Amino acid sequence: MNQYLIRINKSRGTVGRGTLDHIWRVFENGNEFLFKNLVINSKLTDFTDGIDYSVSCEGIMDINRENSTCTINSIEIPKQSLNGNKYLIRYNKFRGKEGFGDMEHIWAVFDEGNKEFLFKHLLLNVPSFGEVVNNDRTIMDNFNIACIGVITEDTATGTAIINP
Amino acid sequence: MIQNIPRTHEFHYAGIGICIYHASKGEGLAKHNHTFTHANMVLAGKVLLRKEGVEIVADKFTQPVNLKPIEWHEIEVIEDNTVWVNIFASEYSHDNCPDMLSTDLI
Repeated sequence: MNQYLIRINKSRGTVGRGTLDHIWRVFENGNEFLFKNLVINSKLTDFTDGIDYSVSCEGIMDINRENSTCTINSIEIPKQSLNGNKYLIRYNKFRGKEGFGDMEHIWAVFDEGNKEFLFKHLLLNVPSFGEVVNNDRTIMDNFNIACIGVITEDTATGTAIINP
Repeated sequence: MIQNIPRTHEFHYAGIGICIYHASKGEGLAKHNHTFTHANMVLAGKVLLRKEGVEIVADKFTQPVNLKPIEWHEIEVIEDNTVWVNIFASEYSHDNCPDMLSTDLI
């Protein structure tokens, strides 16, 4: 099992950084992989080194070079939710600004009605995948980790917990 | 203590990476370093720019400052409504993983 860190490839489209569709940066043991598609069959949490903010999971990476898809499978794949709601999760780049939470509210979670909830940490006990809402590199790009489940909050830590 | 802030805008154009920061007094980027060089330029307001053995007050009239690779530096905003820009080569935007060994394009 490896630990994986996943972030957005903000320099995509430039030399050596893939096409504009190579959105996902996946780090495995210090090596970086750039993918167009992302599937995570593992529990997902947040991780920061103090500078960058990633989502993180453990498992084994399966690389499909035909369709540029990264699939990370844990030994015990979390259960898919049968009757949950869909949530989109992304980095809260406006944090610290009025109405967008304080600096610790790193993660924005959107429900199906596009209502936004802000959290400090994430814990997804369901499978998840990368979802691109808009891929305009210069304005309003919109990349998400998507999942289906039932959300609760650990108010002591400000963690969004999504269960099957 | 400097309150770290996120980039207000970041974009890459013709191989150049540009990060723009809007900040208030007390905010900025606490002591850190990179493996790449970048330029720092203040567009509005005022910052204290510190690096090894150097501390300067920079504003829009200050010549853009070049920050060398590996050299620690920090930026402390000392005036509200400050705006500054960091400019670097896009190929280094993946640098914030200092132990990174390779990149594989799938």
